[in-house]
Amino acid sequence: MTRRDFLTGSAGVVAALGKAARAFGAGPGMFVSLNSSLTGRKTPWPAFARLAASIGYGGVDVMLDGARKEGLEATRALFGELKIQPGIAGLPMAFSGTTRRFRRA
Amino acid sequence: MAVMPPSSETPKVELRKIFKDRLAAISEILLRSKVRLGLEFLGPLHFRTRLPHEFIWRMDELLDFSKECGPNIGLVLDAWHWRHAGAGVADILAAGKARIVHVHVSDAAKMPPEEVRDDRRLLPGEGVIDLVALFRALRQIGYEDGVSPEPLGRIPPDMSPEEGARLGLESTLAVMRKAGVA
Repeated sequence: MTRRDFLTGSAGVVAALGKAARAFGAGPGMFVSLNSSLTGRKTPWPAFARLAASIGYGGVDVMLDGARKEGLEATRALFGELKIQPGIAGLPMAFSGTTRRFRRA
Repeated sequence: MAVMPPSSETPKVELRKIFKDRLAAISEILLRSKVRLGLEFLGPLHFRTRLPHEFIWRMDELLDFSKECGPNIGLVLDAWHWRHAGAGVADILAAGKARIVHVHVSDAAKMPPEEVRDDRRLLPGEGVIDLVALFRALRQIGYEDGVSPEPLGRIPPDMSPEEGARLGLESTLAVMRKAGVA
């Protein structure tokens, strides 16, 4: 898979998540999103998303590798079920390394 | 999101062009799915003096750079870095809703710049960062997206994920209520 394919695929997942969350009644205004620094990075996806919802967070920072592994439809369904919003996800490639590394990614 | 390195082995002018070209290409791909990319500036002194050439670490400079890279490129506003980069409310107002993609919150003890380390953060409300002013500025620009508590180094390793998550939510909401935004 090329860098472009992976970035496009990930972007599609993130975009779909955003649309799914809004469709299931996530309201306007700032929302607090669970970040993995609070859990010692001990909780994998999708348990991490479930934890966010159970504690009362309005959103969750998306573990993109875990979400891609679960697949788009399962992830969309998860957000629909939990009624929380996707917060932020890390860019799934390094833009700041060497030219060789960037091209390889 | 992605982190902008505050220093580099490569001279600034040269690196700026390299990153701009790369980020413009990334912007184009993300635009097709209407996804935004937030770039995070890093404020602490030890980061920007780590390598020979200072790069972009100020909020206003990263805002200008992000605008050059694409319409969907903006900032991750991390309160910790906002303080340690010497940024203020005016920088938030200048960025506006369109260019702040996400917010990280934590707090900081009062200390001289040379002692600041990224993994010694506090929970929101425990330190000296003016988070009330930060949240009021975000409300003023109409920001309606995520706020992630990110108190690196504050949560003990033996604390359960549930406890850590609860602590993050409660401390963040307390500051947001104080600012009148929650």
